[in-house]
Amino acid sequence: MNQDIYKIRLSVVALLILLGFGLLAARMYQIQVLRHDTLFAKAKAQYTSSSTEKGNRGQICDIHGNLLAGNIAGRDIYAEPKKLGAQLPFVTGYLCRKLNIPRAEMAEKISQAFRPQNPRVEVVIARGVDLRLAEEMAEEVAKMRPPVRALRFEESTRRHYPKDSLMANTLGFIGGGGKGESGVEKAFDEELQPTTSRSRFLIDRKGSQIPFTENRMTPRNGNNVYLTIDEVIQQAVEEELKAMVDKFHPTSAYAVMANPKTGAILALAQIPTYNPNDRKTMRPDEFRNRILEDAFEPGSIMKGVTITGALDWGLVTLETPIDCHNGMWFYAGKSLRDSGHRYGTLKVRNIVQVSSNIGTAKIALQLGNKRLYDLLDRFGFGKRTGLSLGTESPGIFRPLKKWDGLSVTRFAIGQGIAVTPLQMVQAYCAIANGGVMPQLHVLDRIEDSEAHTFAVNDQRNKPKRTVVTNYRAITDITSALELVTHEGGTAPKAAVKGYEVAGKTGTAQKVVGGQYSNSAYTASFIGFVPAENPAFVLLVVADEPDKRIAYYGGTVAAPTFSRIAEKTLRYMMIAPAKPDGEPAPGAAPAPPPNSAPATTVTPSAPASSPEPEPHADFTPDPASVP
Amino acid sequence: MYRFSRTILLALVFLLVTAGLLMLYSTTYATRGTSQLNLQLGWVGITIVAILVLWKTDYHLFCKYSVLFLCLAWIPLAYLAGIHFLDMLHCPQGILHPLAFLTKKVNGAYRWLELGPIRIQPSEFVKVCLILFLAQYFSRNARHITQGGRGIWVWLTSFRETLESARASMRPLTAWAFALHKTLRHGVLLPIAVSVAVAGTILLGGSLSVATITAGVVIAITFVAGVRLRWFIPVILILAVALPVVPVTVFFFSLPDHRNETPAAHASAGYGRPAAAPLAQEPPGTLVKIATSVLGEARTKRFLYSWRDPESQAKTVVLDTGKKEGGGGYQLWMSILALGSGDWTGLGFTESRMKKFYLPEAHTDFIVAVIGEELGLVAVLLLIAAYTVLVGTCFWMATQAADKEGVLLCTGIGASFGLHAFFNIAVVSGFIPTTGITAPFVSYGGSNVLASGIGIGLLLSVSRHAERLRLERAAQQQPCCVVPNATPQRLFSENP
Repeated sequence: MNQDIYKIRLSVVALLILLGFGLLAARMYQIQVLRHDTLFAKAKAQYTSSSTEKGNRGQICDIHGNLLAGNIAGRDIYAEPKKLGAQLPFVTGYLCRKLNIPRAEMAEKISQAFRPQNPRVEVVIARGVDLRLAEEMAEEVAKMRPPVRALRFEESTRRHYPKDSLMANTLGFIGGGGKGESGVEKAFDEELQPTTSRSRFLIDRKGSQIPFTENRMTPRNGNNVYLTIDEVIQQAVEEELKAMVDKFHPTSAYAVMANPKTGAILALAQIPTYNPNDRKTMRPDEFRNRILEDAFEPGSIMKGVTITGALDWGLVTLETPIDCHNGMWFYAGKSLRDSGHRYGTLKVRNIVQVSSNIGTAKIALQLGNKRLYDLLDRFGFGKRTGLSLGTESPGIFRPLKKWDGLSVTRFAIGQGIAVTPLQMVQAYCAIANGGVMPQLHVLDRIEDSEAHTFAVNDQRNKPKRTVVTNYRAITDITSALELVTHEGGTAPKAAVKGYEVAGKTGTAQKVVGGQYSNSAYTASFIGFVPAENPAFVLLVVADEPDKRIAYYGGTVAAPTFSRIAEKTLRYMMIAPAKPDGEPAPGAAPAPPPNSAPATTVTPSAPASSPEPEPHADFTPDPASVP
Repeated sequence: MYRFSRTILLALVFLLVTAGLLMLYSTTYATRGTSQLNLQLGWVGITIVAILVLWKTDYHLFCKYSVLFLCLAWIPLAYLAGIHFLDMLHCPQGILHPLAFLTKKVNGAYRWLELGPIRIQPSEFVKVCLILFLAQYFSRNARHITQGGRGIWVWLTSFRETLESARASMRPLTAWAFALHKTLRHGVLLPIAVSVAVAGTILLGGSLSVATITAGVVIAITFVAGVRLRWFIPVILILAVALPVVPVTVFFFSLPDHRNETPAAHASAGYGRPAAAPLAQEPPGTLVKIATSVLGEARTKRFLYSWRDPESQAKTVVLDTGKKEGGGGYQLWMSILALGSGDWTGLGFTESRMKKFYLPEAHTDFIVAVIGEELGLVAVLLLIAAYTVLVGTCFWMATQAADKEGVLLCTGIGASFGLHAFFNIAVVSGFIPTTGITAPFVSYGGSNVLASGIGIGLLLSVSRHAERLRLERAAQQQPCCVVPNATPQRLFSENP
């Protein structure tokens, strides 16, 4: 027995060790296989790191590539409040002073690091700080004793509008998160947005990257948006609009210029406006885009459309005489006046020239409700133009079944119907373009940051909308509209030396408190030059000009139209159709021999041919009040 | 048979060393270059020479001078232990620093002798010497350990008789010493006393784990040597009390709990490194206080945390990383993460992420974690299997040995390998508290490889001697009819 006892005991030891190894194997199986998923995930979290890189937001340019909205290098400033420790009050005070941040706001930012729920280690102090200021601050911080290590200056960019207030309302601005808040910035935000790339890589414990483990993505810059706007024209329009506002003090004013052949918007200007680079002074009433959102009662500029319809239908010709009842006409129990003028029988041509309310209303009566409704509907009133620039108003245009007996006579002269400036421009584009209405658009093309054009404006491919079938009607109405800017018309001041201008004035009483006001007017002028081959359609509107100075479309808006048109024609290098001072051959037989362009306007002087105004005893339908 | 066992042994050692070098390359190349690989290659070369020399030398020679070797190996160990002890007593640096010119404090203990570029861990060599000593002692002197009927009274009687007879010729003091020597040399007390002294020195040097392994080896040798089972009663009692006490302490008188603190709250903005956060201050339980006063705060914490669920404990300790870099809990958690990343086949050779400074001591004590991460469970199981076969081969050689000395030598060396491997893998997998134990042949470290190699050389020597003896015997008797196991039978019936 003794002889083998050591073998037995050896076996016991061996068994014990074997048991130990068996336990280890089971333990390893448990860790390595059974808990692999959770442990591997935690391990990855331990050594995986990532960084985000953001491209630059796309630029907005005019059609020639002139920069309208771009990016400028700046610095983001971050702080780690907990790391600042005792220096916190001093450093935050310094930051408030340098960056001009209110103390309360700064306290709010800093408190993010100390809140009980989900505290941040690092907080954003300011984004897009001016480069020079940031550099200066970095230098000062580096000099501080004891050294401040918890401040970080990170390279970044901020949105910059190099032309300040030029086209500001149309361009819009971006919000704090880098998203477009209004205008082009919002409408094409998807294109302008850069892609953010998230690179994942592995780091060792000391924080340095392990080579060849990076899963890198390069960020893409946002696409550049090219608008149909021409910066030079835009500049001219804004200048002249500003001059008009300085002179007549309207509450607001706007001008829209479009190419009637393509529908491309050449200029969009409005006052009041703002400087998007100075966010602190911006007010909501300033950055609203009135051209899109405001509808106004157009008044007489609507007459051009009505008479075009009547000509198209063949109901009248330019020579058809219409009795204008010596300036006072009763219809459906209401009176209509020609604003103090006592016209007898007028030819249709002269009805346009002098803008007779009675004459137009009687022509509209010939058209009848149905045909007038169809006409206005075809010309796009009551429908959005689809400019793709954000929230657009459809205007106010009652459906046919809600028309009353008066509607046909009032809508025809632009009362009781509210249109947006764009709708009106669109309608006159149709007249200027031989009866084919173009699709208004403001986007010319989109290029990616490597200048590959990959998306052009598909609105051009929309089917053409022919709104006037009879070409004769177009030539007729054009010749009638030319008369408006000749001597004896309502707007000789809209004439441009050497060119034939076709246009129409409008002076609409504004509805104030349910009544047509005698003091608040909308003065407007719309026209196209040169009349025989229009280069552009331009609408100038002054909302509530100071009545003590002037309020007629022919006095307020027409001179501005003339000056803008003159500059634009010169810029576009459109050859004058007639020698200076000479009427165009074959032009309207109207009397004015010398349609001298009105370069100076005497505010107190009455217009040579005051436009008839609608009489105040007409009570507007409440539904038509904009 | 002898040749076969030797072949297996050498093949296993070759495999383990090769695997160790490859993993050392994988673990250290990216972070430290080739300096450590070169150093280790040098040590492996020395080890090969040592194995060859020992193989061709008679192990009885070493057994004969084992007391001398033990004393020589004990001197540096005692030196380190003394330094550590002085440090624990807060000896002034002015005295301690010049004294500690041969060593350096690493991870809170003085374990290595620093001889220029070479670092030697004396405890590894002391262990081998102790095995030699015990084998020698038990085979020559321990006549009474297997016999029954010798109680304390019997011993007292024999002691008195020897003392009286000695007094006649000797001076009183010498007579006492002679009597003690005469009566005790055949018992178990002397080897146990020597073992306790050695293990105690190691413990005093701040290495609880190596002391534990040494104790285990001593127990194994004593057990196989045939010491009566009643002597193991205290050992079993201690184990029976100690094993349940530790978990009970941990789970019922628990440490302050930090599980409510979410790591997300401390995530930093830049790279995802865990931010340093203060440990929640909660009063520890009574037992923890006692343990702290006995073991010191760091050791208690490490010890107790290691017994908890690795994940929740990791939360507590990882948060503490800023304070205590490389603390037990953090290291273990990284080790568990490394192993858990491995799955069956691992991330691929050299693909370990945790070796990138996350896992402290990745190339030494925690190399198995890197193996598990890079090569998966398959490799870890193969490693465990290799160690099992290694220990089995050692024990097999023990049965082949020509005398009792050889048997006990093989047993001790086998047990040492087994315990080392077990403790190392158990630490890496969070099975037992984190301590510094190397995996034989695989971990980086010259002392580890050399001491293990000396063990292998002794095993080979035992095997060679047994083979030669058997061949001689077979030549003397009938060459054709060899009685199996003839030699061991004779050896264990030597007792009068």
